[in-house]
Amino acid sequence: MIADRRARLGLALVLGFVSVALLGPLFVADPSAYLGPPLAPPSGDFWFGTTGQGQDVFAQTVVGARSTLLVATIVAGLTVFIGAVLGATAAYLGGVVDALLSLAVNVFLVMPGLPLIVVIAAFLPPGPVTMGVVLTLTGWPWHARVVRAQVASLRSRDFVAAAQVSGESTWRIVVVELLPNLAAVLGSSFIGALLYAVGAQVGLEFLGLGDLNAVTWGTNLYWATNDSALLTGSWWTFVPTGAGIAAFGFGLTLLGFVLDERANPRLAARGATGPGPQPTPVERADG
Amino acid sequence: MTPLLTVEGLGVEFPVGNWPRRRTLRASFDVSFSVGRGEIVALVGESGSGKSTIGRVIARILPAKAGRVTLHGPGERDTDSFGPRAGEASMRWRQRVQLIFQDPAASLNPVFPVGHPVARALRLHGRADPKTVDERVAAALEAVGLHPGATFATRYPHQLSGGQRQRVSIARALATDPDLVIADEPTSMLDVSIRMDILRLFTTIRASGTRSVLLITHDLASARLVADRVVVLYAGEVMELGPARAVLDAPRHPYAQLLAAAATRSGDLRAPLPAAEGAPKVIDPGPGCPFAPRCAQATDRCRAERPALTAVSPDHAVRCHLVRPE
Ligand SMILES: Nc1ncnc2c1ncn2[C@@H]1O[C@H](COP(=O)(O)OP(=O)(O)OP(=O)(O)O)[C@@H](O)[C@H]1O
Ligand SMILES: [Mg+2]
Repeated sequence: MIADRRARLGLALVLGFVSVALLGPLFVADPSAYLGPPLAPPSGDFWFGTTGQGQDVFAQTVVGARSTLLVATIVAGLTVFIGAVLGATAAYLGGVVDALLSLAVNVFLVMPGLPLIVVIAAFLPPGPVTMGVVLTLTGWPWHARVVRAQVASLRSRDFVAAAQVSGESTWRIVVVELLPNLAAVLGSSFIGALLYAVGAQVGLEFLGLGDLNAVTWGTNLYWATNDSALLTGSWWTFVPTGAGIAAFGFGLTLLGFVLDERANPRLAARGATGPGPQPTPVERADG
Repeated sequence: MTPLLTVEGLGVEFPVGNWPRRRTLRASFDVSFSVGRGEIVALVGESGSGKSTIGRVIARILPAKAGRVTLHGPGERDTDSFGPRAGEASMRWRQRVQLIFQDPAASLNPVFPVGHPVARALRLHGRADPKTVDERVAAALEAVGLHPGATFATRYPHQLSGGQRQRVSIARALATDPDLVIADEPTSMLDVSIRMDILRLFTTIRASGTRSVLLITHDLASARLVADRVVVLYAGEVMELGPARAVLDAPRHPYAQLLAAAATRSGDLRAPLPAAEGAPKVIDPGPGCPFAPRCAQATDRCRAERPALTAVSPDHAVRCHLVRPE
């Protein structure tokens, strides 16, 4: 029941933001237009107040969600896909391919991620494509590692051999027997990737490494600092975007917890036998 | 007795270690034995002696490096055999040979209710159609003692006890109506209290008189209880084979004697063997008898020359230089 309530809240938050990102921009004012007095506090005209340039903060928050979530979704999809394909290939083929892919993964993992992102982002022309490329390049190795471990352990699990003995074809074993076992891992990887992509993207843009003309959650925060929001006490220029990021992240985290819990009782129930040949555990009849 | 299965000169190797320190591990070497129709044959030996490997090769989930495995049919045309470089097993082989795994939790897919594997086995071999499959699954589960079958079919593996899971595995294996059931230590992961029930299930499996069981076990007591004949393995080689009584009560091979002595003390092969001088050498084995390094009676000849499997009576053979035919 508790898990269900968390799942419902998480799903409501995430779906809420997704629909705001998809439909919201149709209903709000132009977020870049200079509509009102600069740094006006929230009022009936401007629900979330205005920025230092007199732009509508409400419109910026809603439109910013679209770009940020779109890039994050694409990045999460790409990183999980690339990671899953490379990880599964490595685990499935083994040998030299596995050794080379694992080496590449480890090299990427050892490299300090955030400084690398900053350096790459500084060299490429700013924009959503650069953002996607940078985050995808640095994001996939985690997923490759997770999926490789999962596939390697699944492949040697006896239920695969049992399906073979029953006469199942290879493709049916992979698609019907193995894939559902990977679903929970891919699902929580995707959620993790979304969190990472939103966080890293906002962080980079906040540092001014994004396209400053675009309206995103990250640039909203960049301009808020640029306009000395803290000094002038105009909290409304950064709180809506910050709260949006926090609430979206919270929703994702809740979903992630629930997914992990769904996956784990069964994972725990499949016994102590790990991958590879294992000696029979010692069990003495007479103690 | 007409043989159902004959294994001749079976060899299996595994690569171990990574390049450039790659070696081969000889898990099974020159293994020959047969299983008669309606017979229960026990494959015994300590951990790592290659019991599971041989079972998996016969069930065709592992390729053979050498030798030949033949499944004899009731008719000439039903006889089927394979050797090294064999491709995928035929559906006929899959129907006739079934394998029950040691770990009942690992051998059931955690994401499906336990009716699924039984239903798949029935459907794959044309033993049920979409309309009758639920009914057949329930009947198959009830046949192995899971009442009511229809309720059990909808449970997930983690909702069952170890013994119940193993019953599901047995139901899946029997669903194809196999000629040979290979059971790889089917009771070793189970509670002592339910081992007997599961073992009894195996004696009923062959009750029809045409179904054979290859029971892989390290528990000599259960081998004596249910097996007609016993094959003793050491380091992937057959050391002694013959009628269960003869091999277990009056073993001739020094290793079999050691096993039997250890088993009377503890009832189980897992007890450390006396004269244990390290693990058997399965990587780079020498030219002599594999047991020579641990054998109290070993001579220079034992270390230099591999003994042949010699018959000591018509149905009983021993691989040892020190044992003379009577
Ligand atoms: N896939 C594999 N890769 C490498 N070595 C393997 C593999 N499978 C088995 N082996 C090795 O082959 C030998 C025989 O293993 P096997 O599992 O057949 O022994 P076993 O008699 O069944 O032992 P146990 O009683 O512990 O189950 C062992 O040395 C084992 O380490
Ligand atoms: Mg084994």
